Formats: sequence, C-alpha cells, structure tokens
Amino acid sequence: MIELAVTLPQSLTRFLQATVEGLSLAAIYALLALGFVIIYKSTQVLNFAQPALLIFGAYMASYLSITWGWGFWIGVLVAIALTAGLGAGLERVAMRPMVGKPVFAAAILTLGLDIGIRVFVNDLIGVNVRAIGDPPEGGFGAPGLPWPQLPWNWGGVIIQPRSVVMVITTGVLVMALLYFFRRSRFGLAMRATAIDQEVALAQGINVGGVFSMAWILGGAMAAVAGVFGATAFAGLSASNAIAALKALPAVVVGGLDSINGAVVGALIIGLAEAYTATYQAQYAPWLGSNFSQVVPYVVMLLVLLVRPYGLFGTEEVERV
Amino acid sequence: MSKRLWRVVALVAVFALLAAACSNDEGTDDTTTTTAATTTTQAATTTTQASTTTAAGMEVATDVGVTDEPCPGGNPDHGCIYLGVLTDESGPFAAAAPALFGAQQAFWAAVNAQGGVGGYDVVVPDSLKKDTSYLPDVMVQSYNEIADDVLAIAQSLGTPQTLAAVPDYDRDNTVAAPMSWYSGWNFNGKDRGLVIEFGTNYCFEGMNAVDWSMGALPAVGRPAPTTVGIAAFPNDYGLDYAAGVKAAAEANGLTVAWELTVIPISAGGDPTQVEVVSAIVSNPVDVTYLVTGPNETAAIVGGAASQGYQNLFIGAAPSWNVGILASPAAPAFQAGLYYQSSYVGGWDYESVGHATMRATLDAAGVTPNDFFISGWVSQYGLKAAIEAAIANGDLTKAGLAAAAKTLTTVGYDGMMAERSFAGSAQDNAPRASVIGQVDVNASTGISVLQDFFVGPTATGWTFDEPCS
Repeated sequence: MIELAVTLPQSLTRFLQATVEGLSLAAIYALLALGFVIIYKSTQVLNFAQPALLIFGAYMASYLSITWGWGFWIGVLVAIALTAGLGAGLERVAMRPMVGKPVFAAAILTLGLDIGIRVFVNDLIGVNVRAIGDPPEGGFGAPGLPWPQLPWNWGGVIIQPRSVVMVITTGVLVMALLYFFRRSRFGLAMRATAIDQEVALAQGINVGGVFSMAWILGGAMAAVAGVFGATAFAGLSASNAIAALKALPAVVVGGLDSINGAVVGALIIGLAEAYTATYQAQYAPWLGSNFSQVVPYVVMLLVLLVRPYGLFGTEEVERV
Repeated sequence: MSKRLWRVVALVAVFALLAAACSNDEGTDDTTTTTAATTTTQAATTTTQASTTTAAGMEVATDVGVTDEPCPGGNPDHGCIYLGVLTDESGPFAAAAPALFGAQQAFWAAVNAQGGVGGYDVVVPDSLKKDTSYLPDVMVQSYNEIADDVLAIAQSLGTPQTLAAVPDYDRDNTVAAPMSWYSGWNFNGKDRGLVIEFGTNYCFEGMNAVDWSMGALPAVGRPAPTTVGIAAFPNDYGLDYAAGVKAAAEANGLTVAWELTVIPISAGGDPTQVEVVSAIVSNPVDVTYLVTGPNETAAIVGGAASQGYQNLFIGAAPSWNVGILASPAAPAFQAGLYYQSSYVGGWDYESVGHATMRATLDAAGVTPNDFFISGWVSQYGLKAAIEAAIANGDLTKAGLAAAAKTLTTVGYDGMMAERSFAGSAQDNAPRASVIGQVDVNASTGISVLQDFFVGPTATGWTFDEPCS
C-alpha cells in the first residue's frame, strides 16, 4: 500500500472514504445513464437493453483479454468496438422497423432484446467468477497490470487505482461527448434529429444514420461501464448486468433528455448510495440492513414528486 | 417526454425497487409453507400399476416413470427408469445449472455403462428438466408438469422451493434428491421422509468450522479467537450456517460481535459490498464467517484486505469458486486470509467416487468446478433407494418412497461417510465436514487441510429439530 504521511480526523476519513466509493459508483452510473440519454434523445426510445450491452461488453473484454490472451488494452478496445457494433446491429435489425410505431412498443421490444442477449451471454459466462484481465501478476497466468494494483492510503482514506481511472475516464468521455455534440457535424445532426426528426429529415439529415450512431455510442458506453464494473474485487459474473438497472434512477433524476442531467443524476445517486451505506447503520439502524440498495429509488421518487421531468429534463407542453 | 413513456419508466423503477426491497425476505420457511399450501395441485396422479419381469429375472411392480422398453440409446435388454430435474436456469443459480445437471446425467450414464440398476437403465433426459427460476410457485408448477412422467426427482434445487413442492411430492409419493443442505431435511415434519439429502448440513458445517478454528489458529501463529462475526445471506443457507456458528461460539465462550446481512449481488446487492466491508473493517473480529456466494466473498475479502484488514475469514462451501483466484481479489486469498468449510472434498480429493467422477467428466471435457461434485454425489442416495425398491419387488412410486425411508446403508464411494436414513436425525444425520485452504495448484483452487472431522459442538449437539 502506498501511504501518504497525513493524519486526518476519523470522521473526515470516513466521509472521504464514502465519497471515494460514491464517485466510483457514479462513474459507472454516468456512463450507463449517458447511453440511456443519447439513445432516448435521438430515437425517443428508452433502451432497456443497456444491461445486455453492458454484460456483453464485459464478457467480450474478459474473453479476448484472458481466454484469447490479447491483453487488457486490446481486449477492452475490441470489446468496446464489438459492443458498439452489436448496438448498431440491434438498431438496424430490430429497432429501425419500429420507427413510427408507438414508443411504448419499441421500449418493450428492447426489454425482449435484453432478456434474449443476457440469457445467451450468461450461458457463456458460466459458473466461475471471471476476471477482466487486470489481476495481479502471476495469478493464473494473468497477462499483466494495466494500472497500478496497490491502493493509495491518503491519511486513512483508501483509494483504489481503479476508482481514479474510472472517474478520470468517465470525465474524459463526457467531455468528448459534449464536444462531439456541440462541434462535430454529426453531433449537430444528432441534436437536430433530437429536436424534430421530420424537420431534420427534410433538411437532408441522415436520420437513420443518427439512430445508428446513437446505438453505437450507447453500446460503447455500456461496454466501458461493464469493464469498470468487472474490475471490482467481485469480478465478472452475470449479476453485473444489474448495475445498469441502477442507472435508471440516475437518468430519471437528471432528466431523460439531458446529457448534463445524466452526469449530475449519476453523481447524486452514487453519492447517496455510498453515504447511506456508510452512515445509515449508525444513524438510522431501524431502516435495516442494505437500505443503501433502495436509496437510489427513494431519491428518484422524491425527485419525481418535485420535478416530474427530472432536474435537467425538458418539460413537455402538450396542446389539449 | 410522453406520459406513456413515463409510465414505462415508473413501472420498471417500481419493479426494481420491489426486487431490492423484497430480497431481504427471501426464503423463509413460513412464507414458503404458505406458498406451497396455496399452489398445491389437488388432482392426484393417475397411475396404472404393472408388473414386469426384469432382465435380472425379478418380478417388479411398476407404475409411473418406469417402462419395459429400453431407454433411448440404452441397453436393449433393460427397462428404463426416468428421473426428472427441477433446476434453476434463469434465476440466481442459472450459471450452476448446467454443471449440476451435466454431472447427474454423467453419473447415471456411468451407472448404466456398468450394467444399470437391477435390469434397468436410469436416465435424466433433457425433456424432463424444468426451469423453476428459483421460485417456489414455479417449482410446484414445474413439478406437476412432469409428475406423471418420472419415478423420482434427481434434482430439487433450493430449500424454499423444495419445501414448497413437498406437499405435492407427498401426494404422489415422489422421492427427491435435494440440491440444498438445509438441516430440516433430516426431519419428517419438513420433508415427509421423501427428500434424500446428502452431506452434512449447513448447521453442523458451521459448528465444525468454529471448533476447528479454536485449535488451528494458534497452530498457524495467530491467537485463539475470542470474537467472531457472521456475514450471511438472508435465507435458509445463511440462517442455518449462522445458527451453527452461534451455537459453537457459545459452546467455546466466543463473542459474536455482529451479524451482517449480505444481499446477493444477483438479487440487486451491491457488487462492491461497501456496507459490509465498512462494518467489518470498523469492527474487527478474530474470524469472520462468510455464508455468501463467490462474488460476494471476493468483494468482501478483497475489499477488506485492500483497507489493511488482516484477520481471518472462513467461508461456507457455496462461498467459493476457483474463479476468485483469477479476480483482483486473489492476493488476499493467496495471503492466507481465507479458509473453507465443506461437506465434501474438492475435485482432487482422493476417493473412489472422486476418481470415477473425474474420469467420467474429464472424458466429457469439462472444466472442473465444485458444482459437478455436488451434482454427482447427490445421486448416490437415489441410486440406493432404487436398488432397494427393486430388491423389494416394488418399483412403484410408493414402493420407492417406502424403500427410501428405510435405507439403512447408503455408500458414497468414499466421497463422504456412509449413512442411514432409517431412524432419528439424532442418530443418522451426518456431522462431519472438511476444512480447505486456498491452493493455486488445486483444480478448484482449494485443497483439503483438515480431513473429515466432527468437532465437539456437533458431537454433543442434540439434533431434535432443524437449526433454523
């Protein structure tokens, strides 16, 4: 363990430790929430297949880096590309024919896609905990260390390197996405399509291409989140897909059609979950064990009561 | 966003909330008893009794799940016995289902290759395997779908699920091999004498783990434990093992400093188990008993060790699989922080049964894991019951049930000690377990450190009711 010779009060140490855990969770939730939002903004469809994309990406990264021995970085990059490709394929084969159909039916279709893909991938994952390719050197033929394994001890606050990597990577990806949407030609096309598909089509925008790009980005984000989740001590198992469902409260809190809202919502949910896990047993033990797992949904319901369209969501005005 | 879409979002969110909130109540006996009562099918199985002269020259009465015709691809001179499987292919144990089922098919294939049982081949066909999704209601429904086609159930997976199905098993005189180590299977009040359990139950396994630590820790240079903690799933598995740990702790004068509930990750639990890790690190105990699954074990031990925690963990048998040694948590396990209790030796254990299992499954090209062992060893009791029923000349369901209740000797080819099913739980329940240590050279990552033993707590325990 790399230690920094600083002494912090125990209460502050505890708070900072919870903050570190919360930011780690928020990084994963943010990536998943971004996938939800990008696809929703472009296609008006809430993609419930995000858990399937997450577990597919994580499994492919594990398979390529460990089973095929490609190493962590190549394995992860190829897995992200494959998951993005899967997203594009799903959009073209299953979702494109649903254009013009009720969005409710399209959303239910994504649920079906999620179940189908996850059953298939779960069978591939099998019974053993799987590694993603970053175990310690020498452990069952591990290919190497993609990032430092030893945690930092900053005055009693333990910071895992993976937490730092996750937060930084998510930050970079969010900035890149914002730049893409604001500065690139295709990003502008996606924004135009999000505002009005028919007008965008009339202006010569390749709306079908926009739909594909949204699913490609959503798939890539889910794959990165899946890889992050699998670097935890628990490794990769079929259960990891559940994290994608916990991103749903983040999306709703931030607003389904807001990129900024997705990030803020993820931060709120991740930190709320971590603080509850740390303090609830001390200050509200009557809530029982593991109440932190319920907190995201409680926060979501509270926000919905006050702001039904989320903190940053666009309020919809309907003519009656 | 349209109101309709909001309704979809709200529906999914509420579903997720309910799933997370309800996971604490999973698997209580009271609940499942009620479920069973409300889902029991009243219609009795319609059977036609027949009498058959087997290839062995015996006159044997048969009814359901036994044919004079050979099994598909089986010995043409033999009749066929059909067994059903009620497993979990879409719930929390979905990943284990193929190994459990594969081992059971392999077991009976090996039996058939050695001449079958009393002039019969025994098969567990895919068509008689049902997915229960680990839900008691679905378990009962699935059983009734195959009840008229099977002589017995080769795999009845899960305690709450099997408890729910017992009334229907009783209605039909269906014998079942459980995939569960609940202490209640030793009592007719719970299983009506129809569940042929195998191995030492969770409760005695927990007692032995505590008793072992009293002498073993000083032997490895650690002080004898004075405080212990329990981190367990909130179900029959967690409650039963925890009951054993608490009983042995009391017997040894240890303080149980805390009991933590671990929500399975598959049920929406935290993948990093922050809450549990935080509680362990802030309130250290000499030994923490883990009654969890492999993912939770890796998260808890790895997470605690990463914060400098160096005290010991002992896990119940289902807490481990070899994949942990390829996970980021591996250093903590290789550093000797973890020991493993179990009702059976691992893949490399030396016994006739293990050798046969290894040879059979190696030939099938499987990668070793502990679920194969459980699937394989679970069938010995059923095989003994079928042999006894044929010897009695009554291979009807009722005949098999009667034979199962009076089995005096069931051997496991050395995988476990012989046992009897006749008489009281106090006399017949197995109480021995093994302790394993992490071993990167072992096929399943654990090698036996302490061979089968019965600690003083289990030895002196009056077993006149289930532990939980």
